[in-house]
Amino acid sequence: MDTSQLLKGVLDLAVLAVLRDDDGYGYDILRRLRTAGLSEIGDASVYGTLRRLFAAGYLTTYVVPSEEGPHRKYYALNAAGRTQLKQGAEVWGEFASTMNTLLRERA
Amino acid sequence: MSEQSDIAQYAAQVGAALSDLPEQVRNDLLEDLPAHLAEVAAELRAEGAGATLADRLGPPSAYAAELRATLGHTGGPSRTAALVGRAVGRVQQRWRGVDRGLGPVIGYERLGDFLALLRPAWWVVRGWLAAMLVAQLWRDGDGPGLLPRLEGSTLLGLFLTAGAVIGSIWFGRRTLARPPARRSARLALGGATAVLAVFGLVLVVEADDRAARGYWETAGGYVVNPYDQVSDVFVLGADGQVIPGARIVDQTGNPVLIGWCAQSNHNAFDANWEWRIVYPACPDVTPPQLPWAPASPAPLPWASPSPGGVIPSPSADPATASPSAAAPSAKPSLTPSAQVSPGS
Repeated sequence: MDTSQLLKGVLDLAVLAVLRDDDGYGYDILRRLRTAGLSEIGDASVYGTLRRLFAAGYLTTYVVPSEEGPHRKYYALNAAGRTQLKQGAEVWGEFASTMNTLLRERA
Repeated sequence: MSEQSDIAQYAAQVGAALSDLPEQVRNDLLEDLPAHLAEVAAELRAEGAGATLADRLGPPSAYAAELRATLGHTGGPSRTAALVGRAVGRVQQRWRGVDRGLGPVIGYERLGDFLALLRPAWWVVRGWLAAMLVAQLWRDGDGPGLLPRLEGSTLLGLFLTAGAVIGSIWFGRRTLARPPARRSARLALGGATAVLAVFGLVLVVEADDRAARGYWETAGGYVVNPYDQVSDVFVLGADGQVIPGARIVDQTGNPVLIGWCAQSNHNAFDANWEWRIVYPACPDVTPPQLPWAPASPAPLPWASPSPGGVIPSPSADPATASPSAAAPSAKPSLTPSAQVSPGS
């Protein structure tokens, strides 16, 4: 099964999750997701998701100057984003356990 | 700097690939892209492998496709989109059932196969409807016929119809070969089709209505039955007295039925019921008060052309006078109104 299809539905949650403890800028967030094991994820997916979460009011941004390159735009969870992450985690937990049960029975 | 122009070019190509998105969505998506790409380029430089943006991110078209895929899975407007999508899905599923179920009934594998054959017929009808609609916009007064008339001219209308049909066929072939790519164009086409379909439906219903009921059309373009106030008819003899049990016939000798009583008091299964109608036909209608009869004789209105121009008349409404015209022997100008009772 193609992981990227599964990823589509949970990309928001994954991005919110890697921002839970530390703020991050675009490329940094991509790197965290890949390091966490989502190796198929693309830069455009992360960038697009960040834009959308920001537009939806879950993220705040600030710019940090960088010495050897362009400024970096950092994204941070706000209160709405944390609530969204918490709710999303619950939904995911239920969904995953349902799927696990289902697959164990049928396998 | 070549890196700067690289970034600008890459961003522009991504933007071009997303040009079909609504302005707002597109701007939200692309606003930050150059800055983001600059970050990525800086990372690539730091890695020192000499990779370009396209090496790392793939071609701009692929990047745009991935970006597009991230649209619409958080709440907000995507919920509506999802609801609409599900509704459309249900309709499509139902249609597939009908498509496969009804097709064999008329000897086709699918109903859609048959409907596709009818497409050119629809193009012709569409042209005719368009011509009718155009003619309708210019028309004042009477309702539409079945041919468009421009300024009352059927010939002009026929030219218009021919032009519209040819245009519609041409357009139909074109859209069949190359359906409009832009969403707005598809919506406009669908909307125009819906307008024509509704207009056609109204046209057919109106035409049917007109064909089903008899119409008196006057020159002024307004439609009225001059006899619809008449409930009964009294036939007068030369002496001015009501002739009881009279029959009225037209110029071919067929019975004429005037008034609600004559038209409704019958048994439709009775073969010659028209001939059984005699006037006055209403069982309980009193004859009109005729000023010349019986005791104080006034001159009969048709005996001497009234000197003062005063015509004794039970009814002032000229419309109710017209039934006398149905009696073939009477000269309409001489028998204006005396024999008709006013509608009660």
